[in-house]
Amino acid sequence: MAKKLAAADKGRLVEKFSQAASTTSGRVHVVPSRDGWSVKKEGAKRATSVLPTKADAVRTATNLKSVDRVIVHRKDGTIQKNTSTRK
Amino acid sequence: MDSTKVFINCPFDNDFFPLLKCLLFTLIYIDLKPQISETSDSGEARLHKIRDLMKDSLYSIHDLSRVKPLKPRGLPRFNMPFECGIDFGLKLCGKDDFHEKKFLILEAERFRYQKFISDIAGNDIGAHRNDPEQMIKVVRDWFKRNLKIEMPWHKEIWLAYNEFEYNYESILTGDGYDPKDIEAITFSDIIDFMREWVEKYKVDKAGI
Repeated sequence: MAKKLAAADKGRLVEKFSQAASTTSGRVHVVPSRDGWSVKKEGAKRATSVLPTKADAVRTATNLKSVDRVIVHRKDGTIQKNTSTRK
Repeated sequence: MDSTKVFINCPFDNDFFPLLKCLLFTLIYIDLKPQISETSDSGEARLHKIRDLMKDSLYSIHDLSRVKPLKPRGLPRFNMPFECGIDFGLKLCGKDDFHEKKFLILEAERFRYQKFISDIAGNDIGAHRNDPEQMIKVVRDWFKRNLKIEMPWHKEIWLAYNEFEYNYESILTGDGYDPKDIEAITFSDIIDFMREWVEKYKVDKAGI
């Protein structure tokens, strides 16, 4: 059974989640979806595009303007790959 | 009963954890309050706490997808159908307004339940196919039908969940916790992190 976080740790982590959700970054997410591979800029409500293959989606994501990192997700949402696009 | 509270009865193990996280995230994203028992008490004390959560929640989600033998020729896990039965007992007991309780039964495959618990036929059964995106769709669509209010499409929730998952893995790993371990932190902590994240995400990022 997991142990409840101490109040100080909890407060610090809640703040990290809060900041993470409101910070605009140069990340773009490649997500497997029912209709293909979605390419979504962080914070956007909708996908920029949906591609038939992961390779196509990663290529599209990498070529988007002002993208620093491409995050490729597995079918369960976890992270498969986290790549910098800076040359 | 609180019409925003949803009692969750499901397996608590690392195999089911991705599906459970999607379920929690979906409920929070559509402004509902997941209720999970995390007591380590045994016997009667634990059952009383579960009963109290059920009594307080208008909605319940019972996941029966793991009612199968733990090993070849072994016995299945009976906790989920047992708790589901308690909730049905509450609904059918004729007291207070419990007859208004609404249940969504989740399964991996559409009609598998008929082989071991056919008495629940006629209730709302959803099949998540052990697929996290499908879990979001089944849960979102069921609440859309029941609440009859505007609700984000399942794909918006799925894409937001993936973004949350990136932050979840980064933040927990950075703090020395294993994000894939269901026992790393409590469900109430996870729910608080999700609630804070979703609130900020909707306002600051997605402009919802």
